[in-house]
Formats: sequence, C-alpha cells, structure tokens
Amino acid sequence: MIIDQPLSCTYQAILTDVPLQIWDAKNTYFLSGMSAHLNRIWLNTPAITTLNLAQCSAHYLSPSFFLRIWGMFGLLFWILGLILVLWVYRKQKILTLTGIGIYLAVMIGEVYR
Amino acid sequence: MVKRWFANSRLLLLLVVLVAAILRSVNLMVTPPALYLDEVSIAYNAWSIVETGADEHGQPWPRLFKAYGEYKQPVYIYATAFWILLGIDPTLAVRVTSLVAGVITVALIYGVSSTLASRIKGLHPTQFGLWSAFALAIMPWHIHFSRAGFEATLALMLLVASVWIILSSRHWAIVSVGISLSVLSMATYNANRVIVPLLMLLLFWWLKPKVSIATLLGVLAMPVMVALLMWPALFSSASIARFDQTSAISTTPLISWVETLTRGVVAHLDTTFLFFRGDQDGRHSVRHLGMLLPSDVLILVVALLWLRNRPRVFVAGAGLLTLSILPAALTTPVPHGLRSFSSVIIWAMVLAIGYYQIFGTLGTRMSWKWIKATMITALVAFYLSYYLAEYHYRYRRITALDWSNGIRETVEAVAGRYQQYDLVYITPPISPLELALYLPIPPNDFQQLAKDQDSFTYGPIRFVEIAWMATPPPGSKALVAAPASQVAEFAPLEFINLVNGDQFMALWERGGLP
Repeated sequence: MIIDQPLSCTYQAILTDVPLQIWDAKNTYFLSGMSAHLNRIWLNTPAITTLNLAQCSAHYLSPSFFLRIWGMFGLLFWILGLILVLWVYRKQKILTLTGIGIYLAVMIGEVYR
Repeated sequence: MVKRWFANSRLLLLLVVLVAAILRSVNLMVTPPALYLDEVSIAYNAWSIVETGADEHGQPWPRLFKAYGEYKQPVYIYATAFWILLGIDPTLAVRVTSLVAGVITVALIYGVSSTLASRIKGLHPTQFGLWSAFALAIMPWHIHFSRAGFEATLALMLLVASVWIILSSRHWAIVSVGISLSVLSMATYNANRVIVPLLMLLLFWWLKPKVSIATLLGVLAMPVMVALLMWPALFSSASIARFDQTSAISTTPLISWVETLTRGVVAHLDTTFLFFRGDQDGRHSVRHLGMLLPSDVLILVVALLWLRNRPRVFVAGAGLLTLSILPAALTTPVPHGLRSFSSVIIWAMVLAIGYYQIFGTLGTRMSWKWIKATMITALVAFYLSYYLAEYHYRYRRITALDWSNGIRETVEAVAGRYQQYDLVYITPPISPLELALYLPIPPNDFQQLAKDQDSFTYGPIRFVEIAWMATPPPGSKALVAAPASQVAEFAPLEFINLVNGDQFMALWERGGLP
C-alpha cells in the first residue's frame, strides 16, 4: 500500500491500489449512511488517481525523501534546489531548468519504472 | 474589485468566525465517537474541582494535576471547570473548552496577521488578516484538534492572544498582560514551554523596545507573579516527567542532537504528512487526507513565489515554522500533529499570502487571473468537502477504538442493571476513572477510593483482569462486564457494539459455584 510505503509509488502500484481504496471508502461511507450518489463526488477513479499521483510526485520533492535517501547531504541538496528554483531561476534560467529537468526525469523514471 | 468586498472587514471576519464555529461544532459529541482517556481525566478532575475544590485524589486546588500519574497541566482543567460551573455536562464541557479556544484563535489570528502586515511591504493588513483567519477556519489540522479535548488548542489561543497584545499595544501595563498570557499558555500544554521563551526573546529582539530598567521590572512583575503561581506546573520535576518519557534526545549523545533535531523538523515538512495522509495516530488526523488540504500545495507555491522577493520575510517565516515544530522534533514519534500544533498559525499565514496573491489582485475584467482563481476555489471547495465527508462519515468508524468508543455505553449498561446483583465485576479496557465519570461516582466518594484496579471497590463493583477471574461466593449472583471475545460463548445478557458495528464488550451473568 502506498500509504505505508511511499517509495513504492510506481504508476503500476497506484493503478492497482485505486480500486481497492475506492471500494474501502465507499463501503465505509455506505455503512455510515451516506448515499452512493453523493459519495461518487469524491470517490471516483479520476479523483483518487490524481490524488495518489500528486502524493507520489510531491513525495519525491519532499525534504524528508532527500534526507531519507541521501542523509544530511540530501537535505543540503534539497535546500540548494529550493534556492535554485526561487532565486537563481531569474538570473540563470538555463542552469536552473537543466537542474530541474534532470531531477524530474529521475523522478518520473522512478514513478513509471 | 475584490478590494471593495473587503471594505466591510468586521462583517467578513464575523462570517469567517461563524464558518469556523460551524465546522468545529457540528456533531461535536458524535465525531470523535467517544472521549479518550485524557479527556475523561480532564472532565472528571474539572467536575471534582467544581464539586469539592479538590482533584480526583483529594488534593485541594492543585496547580499540577496528578491525574493517572503522568501529571497534567492545570489551565485546561480549570477552564473546563468554568463550563461545568455554568451547568454544562462534564463530558461536553471538556470539548467545549477546545471548541471555544479554536474559534477564538480564528478571530485572534486576524489581529496578529493584520498587525504584522502593516509592517510588511506589499501586504494589505485587512485583507491579509481576513485571509489568515479564513485559512485557519477551514484548515483540517485546526478543525480536527478543536473538536476534542486537546490542551494544545487552548495553549495556542493563549499564545496567539499574547503575541497580538504585545504587537499591537502601546501601553506597558497591557504588554505585561500579554506576557502573562504566554506564561499561562506554558501551564496549559507542555510543548509551549519550549516555544514561549524562545518566541518572547525573538519578539522583543525584533521590536527592540526602548524601555528603562524600572519600566521593564514593572512589565515583568505580573508575568513573574503568574509564573510563581504556576510554579509546580512550570518547574517541578513531576511536570517534566512527560518530556523524559517521550524525549528523542535524552538517550542520544550530544553529537547526534543536531541530526536528531533536523530529522524531527524535516519529518514535519514531509508532503505526505502535510497534504495527503496526515499523522497516522488515529486521534490526530483522518488518516486518508493530510493535516492541510491537498489543494494547499498550489496555494503554497504561489506564496513561495511571492516570498522569494522578500527574503527577510521568508527567513523569518521559516524560522518561526522551525520554532513551532521544535517541541515535536525533540520527542518521538515524528511527525506528530499534536505537538507541532502551533505551526498551524504559520501555515495559515503563508496560505494567506497565497490567497492574497490569487484573489487580492483580481480586476473587474475576466482574465487569466480569474480563471486561476476559479480553479483554486473549485479545488479548495472539493477537498474541503471531501475532508468533511471523510471526517463525519468514515473517520468515526475506523478510529472507534482509538477514541475508546464503547466504554461509556458499557458503563451505562452496567448502571442500568448493577443494583440487581450482589457483585459486579469489570475488566479492562474500562478503567476506574471512566467508571467514575460515566456511572457516575460523585467526586466526594471517588476521592476516598483506591485508584488502582486491583484494590478498587465501589459498592458491589470490583475490577478483575479477565472475565473468568470473576468468582462470586457460593449462592451469590454477579454481573460481569468483559470484552465480548472473552464471554461470547457463554450466552451473555447483552453485547455492546462499537459505532462501526463490531462487537466490543458484553454483560455476562455469573452465579457463585457451590
């Protein structure tokens, strides 16, 4: 389950997990007395898939991910990344975009591996 | 155009506070589904204070409550006693304290934010104040803790009130009241004992007040008196016992402190914790959504883009966020939604910058800004309604045991029958204090009783470890309240179910063997 192991945030894992999440939530909503029509507003495949994909993508940008994988150097790398995006971008667009591009490629590769 | 809407700021603030009150009070006693152990302790001790002027152990007007032996800070209990004095049932009063504190905090953050904004270029004080109040009013993290008896909510209210008074007042006598409130917040929740001294130093360093020694002594007189009054709660060894139990650094060598603290702080900045899954303790979040709304990611990005042009504000905000997380980072487990609760104020202010940038600059003509604002509004509405559906429909079912659901129902079932029996045996997870609150046992009587389960006796009521240890004397008839799993096969009189329908406890009649 991606809840407990964010590192298994692969596209395949997300797709497998979505029906289970929806079934589990719908079941509990129904038992609590919510109508099936109402819970479809939140519990539908596009909404839950988007939420899971957003969770996984954000996880790979999270400082805790950098710290867990690369230790204190990872955190330093994350802070440098933040500085690059927020302050260096306006002056060094190519450098910043290259840096972001490399990181996004690694991250997307991780999600879709 | 939006500026025109903000012309009547008082009416808008009233509206935001009303929204906050509704979100925090609807079905207050239904979700969370029961009072957990600390709420029971606070409710009973507050009732005991009102009835007898002493706590459950008979200690008159305590300034540190022994409670279960973990020692509770006094302010929340006395605040709960106030509501009981007004005639509110103790089980409701314990939650009303938190609810009222939560709603007042929403109003107070308006004052703090608008005062701060008047010192920051590029922010409209009234708009920033209102957006901060709005962000806090709809923040799942703040809604969640304001709906149950958590001391952190009252401590935060006192701290925010203190900061607002210090920032906005020009009279030293009133500043003195502000500092005294911050001392009171330290005697409300343990985490504030770390935050308050550092925050006060930072505030006075920032404000750089020009004051003579005599005035300074005058200003500090009232806070010192409050600190002396609260001495046992602030400085006694019993009051720091809880920190020893949960500390992340007491067993680590000095050299590892920095790494432990860094890991603790960073854990609270984890995006999964903040936006998607929250604190996995069943009492601390709905678990299927984060402490903030998922849509807040986008609003925070907008805020960050504005903050990059104000590096000093950025550094100040990051510093205050770290300070508010520090008590949680010093302890285990991390991330901890309750111990880092003070950070909701910083998150609300950063979100307010985002809201201000998105909505505050809208013109009269339809433009890309309007499309962006509409999309953000739709996303916030979607995820707020999803959070509320999760909270009111799923949360109470999946965390019934975390909230000690079923205990009150079992004790009330026992209360309806126990006079027909020679003996009544109660087994864990029911504790003597829960029995005393729900049966109820008057505080005057309970103070005289032994508090440990082995020697507790009240009329025909005894405690046993497990159901089959209940052995009434020959010829007598006993009622046993035990977990359903222990007595299900003996055809019990009644089953007590959790809100999710699971069998929890059962009442079983047992005759004494000849």
